[in-house]
Amino acid sequence: MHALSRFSLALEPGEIHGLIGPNGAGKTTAINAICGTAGRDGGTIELDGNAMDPHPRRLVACGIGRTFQTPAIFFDLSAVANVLVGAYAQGRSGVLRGSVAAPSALAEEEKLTARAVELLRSVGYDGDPHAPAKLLPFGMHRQIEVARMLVSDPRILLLDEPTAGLAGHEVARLVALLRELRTKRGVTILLVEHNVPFVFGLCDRVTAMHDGKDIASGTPAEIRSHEDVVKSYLGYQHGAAESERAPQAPRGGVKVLELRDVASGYGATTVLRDVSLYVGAGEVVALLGRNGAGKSTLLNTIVGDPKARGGDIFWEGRSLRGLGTDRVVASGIGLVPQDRAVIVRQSVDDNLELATFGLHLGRRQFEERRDEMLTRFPRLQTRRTSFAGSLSGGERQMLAIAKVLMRRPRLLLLDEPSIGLAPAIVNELQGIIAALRDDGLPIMVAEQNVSWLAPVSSRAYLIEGGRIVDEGPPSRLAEAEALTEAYLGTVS
Amino acid sequence: MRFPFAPLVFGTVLGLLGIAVAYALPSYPRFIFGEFAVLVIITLGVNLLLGVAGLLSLASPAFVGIGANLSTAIMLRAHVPILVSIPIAVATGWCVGWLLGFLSLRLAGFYLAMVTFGFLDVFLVILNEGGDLTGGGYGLIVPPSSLPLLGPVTLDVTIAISAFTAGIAIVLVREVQRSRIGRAWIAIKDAPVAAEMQGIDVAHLKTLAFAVSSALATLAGTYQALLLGVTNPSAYSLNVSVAHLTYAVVGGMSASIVGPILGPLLLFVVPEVFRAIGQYREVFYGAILLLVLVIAPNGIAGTLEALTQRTRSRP
Repeated sequence: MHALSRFSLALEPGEIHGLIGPNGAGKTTAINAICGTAGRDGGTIELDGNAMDPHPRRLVACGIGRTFQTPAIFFDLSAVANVLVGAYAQGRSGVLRGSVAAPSALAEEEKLTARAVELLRSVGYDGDPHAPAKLLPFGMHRQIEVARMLVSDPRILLLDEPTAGLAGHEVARLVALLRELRTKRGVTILLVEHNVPFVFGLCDRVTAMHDGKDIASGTPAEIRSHEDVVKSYLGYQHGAAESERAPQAPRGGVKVLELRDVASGYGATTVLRDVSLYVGAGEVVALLGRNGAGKSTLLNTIVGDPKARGGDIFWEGRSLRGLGTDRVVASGIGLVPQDRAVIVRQSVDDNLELATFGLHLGRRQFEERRDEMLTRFPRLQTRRTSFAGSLSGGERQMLAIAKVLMRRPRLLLLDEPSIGLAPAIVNELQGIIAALRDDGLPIMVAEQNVSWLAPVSSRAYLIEGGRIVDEGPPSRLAEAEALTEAYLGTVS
Repeated sequence: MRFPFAPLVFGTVLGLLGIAVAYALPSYPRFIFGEFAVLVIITLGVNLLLGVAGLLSLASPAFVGIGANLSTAIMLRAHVPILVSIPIAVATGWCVGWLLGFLSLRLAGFYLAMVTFGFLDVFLVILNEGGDLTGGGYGLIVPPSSLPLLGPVTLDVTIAISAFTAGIAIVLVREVQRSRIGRAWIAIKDAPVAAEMQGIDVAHLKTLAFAVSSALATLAGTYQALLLGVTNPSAYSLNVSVAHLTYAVVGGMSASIVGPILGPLLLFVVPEVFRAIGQYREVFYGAILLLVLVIAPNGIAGTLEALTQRTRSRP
């Protein structure tokens, strides 16, 4: 499977270069390829004009530092010890000299420790350097990871979503640090980020990726207005399919699901704030937003994992506050998560059967429902006895939805169903959703790619930074302007 | 206090303290203390391998066995003095441990444990089929030996040496675990890919951990033979592997060396000293294990560490 195909990128010395692209474009894979942790066939990587054979162990020697989407901290070590691991290559003491604290080992340790503590301070770490990393909050993990990266004095930094999960002031501090590194020390930085306005504000040049290829490269202003880039983020346009599926907006519909001022998050981080929205009977509602905006968190909060921390959620008039996922699902809500989880080692038939666990259906009831699913999803008909693991992406998506529908939910939540699917399959998906809507099932769909969803939905919300920032007819929100604004931001 | 060679100084002090304790004890408790010292040395190795480097091995009794049998066999058959036989045995243990370490490069967790268990099995076969060299199924009788300055190696001398070695080992192992190599081991355990990206040669460090751990067990084995006066081929079963791991787990697995001391203390010394408990040794053993794993999964030392650390991290 190819995550990158004929991908080209050139970094100028001393620049901050952004790498953007929708989900699955291959951004992290590009970084992995440079680090030698992604299998590579074909193409060359050159460092200072010389061919380079990337291997993780050679990164420090090549002067390359890297951070991960989730900080790869050594949790059993203290903050300063973490940074000292970054200085491993600068040390020489082995088991013998280390165990007896020979003078050379001691001197080396003292010198490197002083440097490590200084670096921690310089990235804004203000805790106890000897505090164990596992007891520290998330923001400090990132600081430690950056300090660890910097202790070996790298010339090139590869940063994978470094601002994910950071609060505003932490982001500002990171930006200041990166600028300083670039300006004062001539460090070259490659930055992968979903927060495109952030990238445009910070980077000298930007490369946009789509489906494993680079599609455009240039200054932020050039990229923002580049037709291919806008299309890759907003999705492809649908043709005839649109007019066939003109939505029937509910008239004076009852609000079956309502969120009022909901707040939610994971651990120490609050992701959603003051979220208020509703889904009416028989409606298809679109929840639009870029990556990291909070769409998945919102859907997950509705089903109770994570539980809402503020506000309330009303389903068919009853509050869902504090209920566990099992109770929420039992009350008639179904969620098809982004990862389309199916039981890969079981057949399609068995997956459908397992989906009814706990419902105590009679044989005939079960067969009735199952046949209904196979009619709705004709693709599954031919694959009934195949293992779920052998299904294509589109078939797996169909199965994931069918499993949820086997429980006859009265509200269906879909988390980015069109990701990674070919246009033809997305077309089918559109038809299935329209059919479900016509049968009276209220549906909320979280999506980045709005164009396929707009024709079949009656209302849309736009979520950004964990808050609802816009609401209205999908056609208006789908207009290139508004979404470009949200996804790509304004360039000053 | 950090000054050059401080660990050697502190290790010597601790070792001398151990000798003093041994001297002060009446004869049977003194013997128990000697055994305790041997177990501490073994557990230091197990903790280093599993708690610090994250590598699960069931082969520790094999190295105890190599120490006991090899040093005894070459003293007996080749008439080599003890000052030579012990280093030879330990060097062999180091090399064999290094080779075993190669197995860890491709395997982890359960699969690694099974392979090390296989190694233990092979060792047992060699031991039992070794004929003259290993005493067949009956073991060997440890010949009398003597040391320069100290004279004949009596039981008391052996106990003193074991106690002293344990003292030095405790301090030196602690120092290694806090040093550059120790940090690298922990890094490999926690996030191997990120560790490698810091320039750490993961393969080298894994085999090194095996070598050090095995050398410690081998050294303990040579003392074990001297303490008992015989080698015992049936003393190296899977039960013993589990016992070693239990000492480490209950004591608390981390870079702290309190764990390797607490484990054998609680699970070996206590049942021996308190006869009443000793009678229900298995029940006591099981009860402690269950209690620790349920209430304090990081072992006793781990839990103590967590308590003291919580106060530290408050900003």
